[in-house]
Amino acid sequence: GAAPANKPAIDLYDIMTTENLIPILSNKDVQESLRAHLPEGSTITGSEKELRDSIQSPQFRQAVGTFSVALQTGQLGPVLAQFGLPDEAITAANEGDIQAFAQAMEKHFKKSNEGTEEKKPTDNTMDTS
Amino acid sequence: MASGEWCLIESDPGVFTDLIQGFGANGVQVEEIFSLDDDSLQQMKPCHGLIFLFKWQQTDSSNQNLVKDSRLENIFFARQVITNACATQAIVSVLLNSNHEDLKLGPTLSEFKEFTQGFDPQMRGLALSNSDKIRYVHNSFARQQLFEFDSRDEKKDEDAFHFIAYVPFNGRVYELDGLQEAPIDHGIIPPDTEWTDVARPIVRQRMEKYSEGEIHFSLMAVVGELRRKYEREMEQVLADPTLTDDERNDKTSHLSILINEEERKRESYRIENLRRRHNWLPFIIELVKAYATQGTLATAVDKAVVTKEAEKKRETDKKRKRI
Repeated sequence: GAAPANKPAIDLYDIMTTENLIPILSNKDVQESLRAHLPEGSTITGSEKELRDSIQSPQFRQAVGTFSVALQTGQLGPVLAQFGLPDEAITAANEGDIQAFAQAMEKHFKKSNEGTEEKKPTDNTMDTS
Repeated sequence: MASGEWCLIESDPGVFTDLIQGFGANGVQVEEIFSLDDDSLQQMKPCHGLIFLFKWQQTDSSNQNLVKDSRLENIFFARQVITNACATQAIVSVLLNSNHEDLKLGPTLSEFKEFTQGFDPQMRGLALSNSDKIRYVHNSFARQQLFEFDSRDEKKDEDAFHFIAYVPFNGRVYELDGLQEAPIDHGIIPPDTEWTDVARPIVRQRMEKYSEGEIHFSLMAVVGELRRKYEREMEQVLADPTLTDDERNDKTSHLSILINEEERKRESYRIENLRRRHNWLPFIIELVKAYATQGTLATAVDKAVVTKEAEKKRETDKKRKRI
């Protein structure tokens, strides 16, 4: 399905800007999880600088553009399901609703502010309420 | 990709240089040309050919200078039978028409040259599009598909690009355009003249025409391997007894910088090509997760929604005013 007609089409590409992403890369856990998904052979250390270079490269930007179009047109849902994302996020993706997708993702992944909670499991057995 | 298909490839000096290496040829590299002035072309001697890329448009293509005589047997010219193969076709055309001692074609291209020797341009085009080896290398530059999906939005601006090549051959300059019936003869290269000086006004005219029409274009040169060239110059400097120590040091340090620059360029080509072939999907998903974990994703999206709505409102208001 396409994006609802009453809502303006939001392009994830415009949100995944280098400006917005660079601060995220300063987190050591994030660096660790991203490093594994860099092109093989392109990196020696997987340093923060290499991650920054990657997200600024035209090749990566292009992939984000494709991802964004697919999300907006509701084509990404089945793909995301393979990556174990929460059901709510997948439903939103199937509808091409980026706002609902972002909310669902945040609801699932955002650590509670009290900071007492342990890392959430990555499988999607929870939180479909 | 189904066998027999050719992928679209990006026109980029790094892609073209690696493509040539992939064909097994060496001693050359591809440089993008930003200016047609004396200096920039002079630095790149020897230049084996120029490749001009532009957004193809239906134009008047009548040409008086098509080669129709026995030269057709010697110039390598192939009709373009497959659209997406045109980058490779332009590169192969330049390489097969050069007999410079620094250029080594390697077995794949040498065999292809020999195999197609007696063919007419149409048959050569077919032979190229049917060459498994050449197609395999070409397709190794296919942009990695994130997943199977309908990418109609992406293709639009890509599929009408066309490449043509300018090459020197037996003392004359030719234009090789696979959409033409034959090579176009651009005349003799006068004695003591670089062939690029003959090609320059022709290319410039084309660039001006496209600039006026706001047609995108770019220009690449297939040149001798620069690193090798600088290393040779280094050897000469070191062996030159007429130089003072200071002069020699100046020259060698300058050449070292240039050699380092070539090494840096190769390394960045390598990384860019790895990035081109990479499937970024898992990386992007991890990044979106991290974005959500940090708690700024929904806010960023909401902000974008507000901006978009404001834009939309402004436009509607404008329309209303007009009415």
